[in-house]
Amino acid sequence: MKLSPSVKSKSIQDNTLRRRSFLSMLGKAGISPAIVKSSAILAGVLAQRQAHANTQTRVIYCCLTGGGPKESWLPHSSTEMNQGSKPYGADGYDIAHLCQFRHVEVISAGHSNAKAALGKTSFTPDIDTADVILANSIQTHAPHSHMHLGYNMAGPNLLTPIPGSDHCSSAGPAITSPEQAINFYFTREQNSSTAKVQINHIHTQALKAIKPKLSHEEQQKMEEHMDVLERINQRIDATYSKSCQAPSLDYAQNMQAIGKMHADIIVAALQCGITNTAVLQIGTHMGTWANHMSAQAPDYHLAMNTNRETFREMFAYLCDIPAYFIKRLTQELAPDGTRLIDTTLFAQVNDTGDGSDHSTDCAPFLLASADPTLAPLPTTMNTLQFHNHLLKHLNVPEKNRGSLL
Amino acid sequence: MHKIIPIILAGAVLAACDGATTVSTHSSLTSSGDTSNSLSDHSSSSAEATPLSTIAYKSQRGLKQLTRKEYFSSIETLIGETLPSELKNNFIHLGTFVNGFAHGTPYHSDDSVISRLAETAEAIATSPWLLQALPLALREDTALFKRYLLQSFLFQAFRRPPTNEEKEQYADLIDRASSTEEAIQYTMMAVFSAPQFIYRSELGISTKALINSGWQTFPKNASDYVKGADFQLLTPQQYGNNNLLQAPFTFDAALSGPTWLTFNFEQIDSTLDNLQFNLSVNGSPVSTFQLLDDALQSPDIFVNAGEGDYTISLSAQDVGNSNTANLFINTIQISSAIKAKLPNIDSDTNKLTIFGKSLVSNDDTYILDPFEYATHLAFMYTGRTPEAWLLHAALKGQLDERESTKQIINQLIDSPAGKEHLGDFAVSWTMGTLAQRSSSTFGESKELTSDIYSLFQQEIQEQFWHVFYNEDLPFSEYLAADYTFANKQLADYYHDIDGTLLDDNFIKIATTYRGGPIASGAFMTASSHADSPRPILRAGKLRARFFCQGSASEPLLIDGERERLYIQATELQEAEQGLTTTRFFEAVTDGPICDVCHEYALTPLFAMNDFNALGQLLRRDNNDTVWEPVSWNGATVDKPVEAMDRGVIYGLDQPTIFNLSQSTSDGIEFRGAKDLSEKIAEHPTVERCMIRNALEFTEGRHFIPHYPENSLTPDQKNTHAIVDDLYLEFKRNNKSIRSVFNAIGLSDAVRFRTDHSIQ
Repeated sequence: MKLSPSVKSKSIQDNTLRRRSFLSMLGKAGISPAIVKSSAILAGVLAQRQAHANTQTRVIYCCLTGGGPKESWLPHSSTEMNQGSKPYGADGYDIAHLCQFRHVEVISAGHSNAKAALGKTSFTPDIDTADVILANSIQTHAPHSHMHLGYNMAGPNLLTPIPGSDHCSSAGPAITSPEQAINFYFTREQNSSTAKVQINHIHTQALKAIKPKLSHEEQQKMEEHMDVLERINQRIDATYSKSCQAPSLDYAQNMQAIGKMHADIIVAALQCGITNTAVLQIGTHMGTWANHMSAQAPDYHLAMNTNRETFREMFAYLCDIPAYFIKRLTQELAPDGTRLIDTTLFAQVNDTGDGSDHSTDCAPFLLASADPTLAPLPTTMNTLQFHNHLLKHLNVPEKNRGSLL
Repeated sequence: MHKIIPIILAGAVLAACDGATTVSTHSSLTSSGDTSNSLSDHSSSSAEATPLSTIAYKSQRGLKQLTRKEYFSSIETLIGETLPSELKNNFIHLGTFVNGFAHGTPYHSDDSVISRLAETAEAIATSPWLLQALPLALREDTALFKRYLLQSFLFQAFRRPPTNEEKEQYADLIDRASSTEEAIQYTMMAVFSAPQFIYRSELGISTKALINSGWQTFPKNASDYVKGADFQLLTPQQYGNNNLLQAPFTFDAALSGPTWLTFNFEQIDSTLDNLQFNLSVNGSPVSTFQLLDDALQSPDIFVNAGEGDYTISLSAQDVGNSNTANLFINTIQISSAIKAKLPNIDSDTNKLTIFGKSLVSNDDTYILDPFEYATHLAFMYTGRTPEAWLLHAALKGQLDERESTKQIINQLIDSPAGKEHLGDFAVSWTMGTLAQRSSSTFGESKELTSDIYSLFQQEIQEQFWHVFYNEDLPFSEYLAADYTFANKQLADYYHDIDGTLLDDNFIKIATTYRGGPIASGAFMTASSHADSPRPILRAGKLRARFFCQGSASEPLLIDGERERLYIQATELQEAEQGLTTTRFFEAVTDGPICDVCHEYALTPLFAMNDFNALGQLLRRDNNDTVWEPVSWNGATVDKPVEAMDRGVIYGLDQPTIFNLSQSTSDGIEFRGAKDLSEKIAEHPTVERCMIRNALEFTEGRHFIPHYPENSLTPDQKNTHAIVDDLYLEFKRNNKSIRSVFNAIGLSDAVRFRTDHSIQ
């Protein structure tokens, strides 16, 4: 194909810029161009990591459940926080300047529909939530398309006993123990990465054996399958060729401490490039969690229905976790050396409005990022509009947005 | 008459001016246009015209990807335990849905599919469920697990014996593991994402290659007994934990035919360096063996003493010494010994005879090998990978003969997995892709919970099983039955069935306005929104699923017209202070553009709307007037459903398309869903539609009728002809549904393949 002069010129410019950027990264990494030239594999891995670093966006969903007291969420001004938003302000983690606080109208009233927080409009199992839709769109450079952690998630499904309706994400069950999460995403991965590479080689041999017998169209599908296996191996090589440091397991046995431990694990995973999409769910849709600092209410659900002040206190206790999470994103670096918060969208979502009346309005939502290109959220919106705002920013085509549209 | 004649193409229809239902492609031809091409009944059967020795049809070769359900069901078959729901919730996308049925083709192999597959395989392989499902002996002994994997598991998972190269690859994977548990995890992760597992081969082998070299997956030497895909382990608890050396060790086993036995021992005392073992069956010596070097495993010992209970004795002596010591057998491994039946080739003429057909070397036919055919039958009839016995039947040549294949098909159909799979057919046929969901189209209501939704599905299944498994009952019984099946919870929900004496079990129960898949909660809710029925959707789904005349697709955008009709309907609503659902949808489609499809194809079918959105019957008074509660300004008033008086089915004599201009039928009047169901129960279009659906479900063959007939591809023409033949078979067998399913598996189109277009 012949290129027009202007297109050709732009293409050369782009290549030159990419090459300069690539060489700059090598310099920072202390790798000489001569070594790269002599190792095609190393060059390939590094170039891929560089390409990854240039384009990668990350998304974190922090799913709180059971809603919050409507009067305590929105800050009074940019500097004066409310009771629930206090952890984000100067008296807390001081990251409020990165946050857009909103009251959002959720999909359905009442409990038993945690997935509504992530945009699922019905209970049908084949509908993906926003995180899964995103994982499909931005997961190509990570060994794990998705991370799903949580704590105190399981609740009685009194109204609709549907398996999984207590999980915000449609991605399947979450890991609730920090030990298990570290084992699954760090230790075990490093132990089994060699086996995974070998498995993909075995599968590639099998595909090669069957390919000559197929039609042209099916041969292309086998090639596509082989390409994916090769890319997965490249991801594993790129991620685990260096030592990924999991956070040390030192935390108290309460909901806030475990939530923050999970936040640390996700931050470490982002730093290592293990994943680019994660969901952290704290609490059950029925609000049956109780192990907070206050001893005044047996659980969140009872507090929201009987004791407004305790409800506000517990909500603020809950919000300490996402505020801490955002702070950590400002402190740690992405694989390309930039702050994680510069390339990460952090969305705090909820399945319920004000829990006391089980209404759909005034659900506490938040969007945090240091990405200057992120458009401001509208002041009034519903859950689907909130998620579409993110998906649009990330250029996820409408045809891929499933039921979120 | 009409200026515009509606012609609705199957797979593309349904005009919708209300936005709730849809239209995409539709052709409107004037009455003077070319309307002479409807697909007439292909009653000239090629099965009758074709000599039995000639192959009637050949389908195209290719691969199919397991569907999501097939994937999980196959893993359950391999492991022998039900997967926990959290492992099935994994967001894996395999196969596709066509016309409401899950198909293995077309399939995708892009990053989202393959990466998710790898993650799902890993989640299952590393789950506690898998470890616990395997026998303890396999979990504790890497060498034993390796033998199990290479000999039995891969055979079943790949649905053919693994090649030597594959065995080496998987053995290497085991050797790299640092523990038995890790070996299990690595290999299972590999198998559950292996191309040999997720792609079903329907490639076949060319006649020439078969005549020259035999089945490629078979042992070359016909006299060899090969090991089967089964792998039974007897543990000490099962055989009595006997001390071996101090007395002859014996155990009873009910073996079936030729068998391989292998003994695995505990650590053997080093002073017993010249042990000789003697094996006898029912007192007769059959084998003597020694252990090689430090091996703790006997050689494979062939035993063949017919079928039934054996007493097997094993004794040992330390040759040349008087040493005795305690020596224990860990496990005894039992596998079938099978002699493969090689293809039937006449050595004089070099002609191959298979499935009643004679083929010569230069024939361009491809033939599914016995393992591919066994696999195809297993997925057709049970929706999962074949069990060991079926692979053994393939090896023994039982699938190369029609009579023995018939028996195997019956065995599959009568199995629990077969029954479950046929139940899936009934539900998918009635509900389309909504059958995959756990609630109605747009979420749950207070009453219509997922529990009720699954009861709807069970009701359909019970009715279908009742007719399917009783071959004296014709297909029409399924549609026209004056009974249904319900338990107490469903009866109480329906209100019109007395549930007083019922319990949790489904039983047959008489009913007047229910019965069959159409007058059912399943169909009525699958064609409703959570809070209101959608008469257009119901009419469209009826034509699509039971007449095979069309299915819902993209809405037709008509600038301005839709808005005008909505205003018109709203004004009518104001004037009459509320409208019944059918009256409202009549009003919003009452325009010349909408009439193209609605006037005859859809609106007259509104008379089946005597059910509400929850699948409950509307109230009928003594004059047979049906009343619908209508909300208006905060009040609810019952209004008569006038559409009940205008029920007519037009164009039912037109298979595959709704073409009023070609119809010679006056239309069939009906009143209510059950009346409609009874009146179409014996109609050839509906019968043929059932056959088309059965073919799509079992074969993954999408039936795409094109219009006009002369534009059909060879594949499509072939499919029409197959339906014709199946229809004749159906009529020859008391119109039994089962006869159709039986015949599909025996069709030449399944076993014989072609590389190019169908002949």
